[in-house]
Amino acid sequence: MSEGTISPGGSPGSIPEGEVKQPSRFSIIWIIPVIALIVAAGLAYRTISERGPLISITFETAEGLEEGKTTLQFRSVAFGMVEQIDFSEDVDGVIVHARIHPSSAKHITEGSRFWVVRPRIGAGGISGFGTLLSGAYITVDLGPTDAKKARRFEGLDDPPMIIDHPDALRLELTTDALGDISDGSPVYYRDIRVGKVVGFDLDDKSRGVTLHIAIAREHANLINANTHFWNASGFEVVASFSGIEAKLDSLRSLLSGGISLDTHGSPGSAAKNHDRFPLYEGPKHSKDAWARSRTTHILVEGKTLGSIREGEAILYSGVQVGTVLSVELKKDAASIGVVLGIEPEFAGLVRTNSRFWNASGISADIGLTGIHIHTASLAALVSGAVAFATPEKPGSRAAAGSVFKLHDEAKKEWLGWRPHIWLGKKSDRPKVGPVATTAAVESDEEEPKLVHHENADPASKETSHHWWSDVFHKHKAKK
Amino acid sequence: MPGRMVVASDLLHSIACPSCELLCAPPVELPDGFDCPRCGGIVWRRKPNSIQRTWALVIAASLFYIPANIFPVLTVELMGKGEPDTIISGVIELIDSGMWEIAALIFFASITVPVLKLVGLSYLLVSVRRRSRWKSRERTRLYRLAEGIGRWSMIDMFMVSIVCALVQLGAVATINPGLGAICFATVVVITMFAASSFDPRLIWDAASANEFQEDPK
Repeated sequence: MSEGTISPGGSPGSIPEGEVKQPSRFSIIWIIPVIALIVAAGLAYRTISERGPLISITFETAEGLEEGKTTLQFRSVAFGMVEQIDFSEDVDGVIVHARIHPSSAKHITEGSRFWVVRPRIGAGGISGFGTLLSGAYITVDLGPTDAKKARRFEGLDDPPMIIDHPDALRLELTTDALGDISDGSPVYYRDIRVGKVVGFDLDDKSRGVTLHIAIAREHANLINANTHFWNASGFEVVASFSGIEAKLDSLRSLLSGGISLDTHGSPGSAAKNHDRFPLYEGPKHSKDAWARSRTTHILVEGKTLGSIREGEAILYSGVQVGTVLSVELKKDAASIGVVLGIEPEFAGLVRTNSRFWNASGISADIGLTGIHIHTASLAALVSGAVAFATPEKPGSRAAAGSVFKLHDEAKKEWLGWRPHIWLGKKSDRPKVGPVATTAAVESDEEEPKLVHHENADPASKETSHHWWSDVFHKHKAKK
Repeated sequence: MPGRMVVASDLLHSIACPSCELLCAPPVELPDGFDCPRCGGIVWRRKPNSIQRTWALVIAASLFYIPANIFPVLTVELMGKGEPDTIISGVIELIDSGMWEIAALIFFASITVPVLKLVGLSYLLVSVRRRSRWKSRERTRLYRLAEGIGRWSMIDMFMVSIVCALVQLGAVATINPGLGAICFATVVVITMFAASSFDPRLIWDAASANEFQEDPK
């Protein structure tokens, strides 16, 4: 029957008959598109579920930012990606739309501050160096965690000067110029790192620089009202008649810049957040300022200055008991005034009847017997000094701010005065001893009084009042 | 035409085995598919379920083609800097860097060929279903084109696999394949199966239906 259909007139058997194959009607092939659908749907679900919220940040410029490439990073971990950059409505800025990873979304709260990290060369050095290769990225200073979520932000054009360190003690240091200090410069206490500079800006009147530093909480107890801060960047050469002293704070701070701190004398009240301190130029300046603040200030007035300079020694019997704090020309321009700082332990030597003279330089008497050369000390020969002597019967203690006359040279009998004045504690004073002081309570913080003693130049009485107060207040301010 | 009727009358319903070219007569009971008596290969009058099967594969390939274009095909990292590239962004990047020839090659292999195959096969399936007799020769040529060039899409996958294997220089330069590459390879494989499951003789069934009155059904 089968042959009949295919070979009606030919030779039967010449064409072999095929064998029966059961064809399958149900096509299993539809499994493939079903699998494809499942895979595609799975990928789509994964992609959509991984999409976090979109935030928008406005910037002045989109320099260095690229759609789909620029990341958002926090502590160098990417938490988002810039998706789109548009102009703002009034075309004076750009709006960056960024997709945040869903796990990070809850941290992006109100008060978060965004800025672009790109290579910058500025006062504080080069920053963002890594972005030269990797391209710019956006980073954030997160807002408080309990604030409510926000999705629109105003970006900062520059990195914020101050990044909050909630635990740290925050202080402000005032200085004339930034110098080598930059963002992130370390703060040392006896060469141990206790904090860092977190920012700087000009002060309110643009007269100086305010440095913001953060001291780690565990070291906050080091800071009190008497703490001094100084610039530890680089090294310091101090030349004085006793030699030249070069001091390098540390190589580390020479390279990176830094601030050191120490407390001179007894600690004051504990520092609070945002307390302001002056930043001294170096350890010597800091020490000097401290020393100056505790010396007893005495004023001398004279006709000639000789070689007296700021920082020169004040000699008593050839021993240095203080330093010259400043030299001023009086308002009437006819005479000069010298502010002396007497060390507290020697303050008792200055009596109301003390005599001051200019011990700088050499005075020579040429006479029949030859040439006599007088000088107070070798140090005074080289530099200059103010010397004083107190008579055998000392008067009462001179109060801080007393004014004396500065004689051009010592009278012979002054050089012979050797009164006994007890310099130690009252209780240690031997029972049998020379006549002691009638005066005064020991106090460094004594309020300055304007006292004119009988040996001061009477002519200057009227004018010296104003002049003294000016000078004195200047020193108060320096403290 | 009459001569052919006479000579081929017994051969008219015979089918050539696709493997050994033996002309065999299908069994009467089930004339669609049988084993070749000489070589044992399967002989079909028409490929079974050809339209349905091709549709399924074309749809599956189309579904995979979406993630293949959305997900990155490879990630090039040079000096730590790098970003994932999809097929089209890679092409744009090549054009930007002035490599027109390679960009054109990739565009041809990755976009033109798969789209041509998917669209072409879909058109053939629709036209066969509608028993169209319009330009059967050209449609057959389209089929041969789709089947012939399909393998060239794999040039992309070869490139990705070779480049990823070679460029593993750690921090300096690293190239890693992406999810898009897997999807794209799947598209290429499935479209190749789709093209081979389509039976071009179906095009001519409609064309010769009036001429020869030989429809087996």
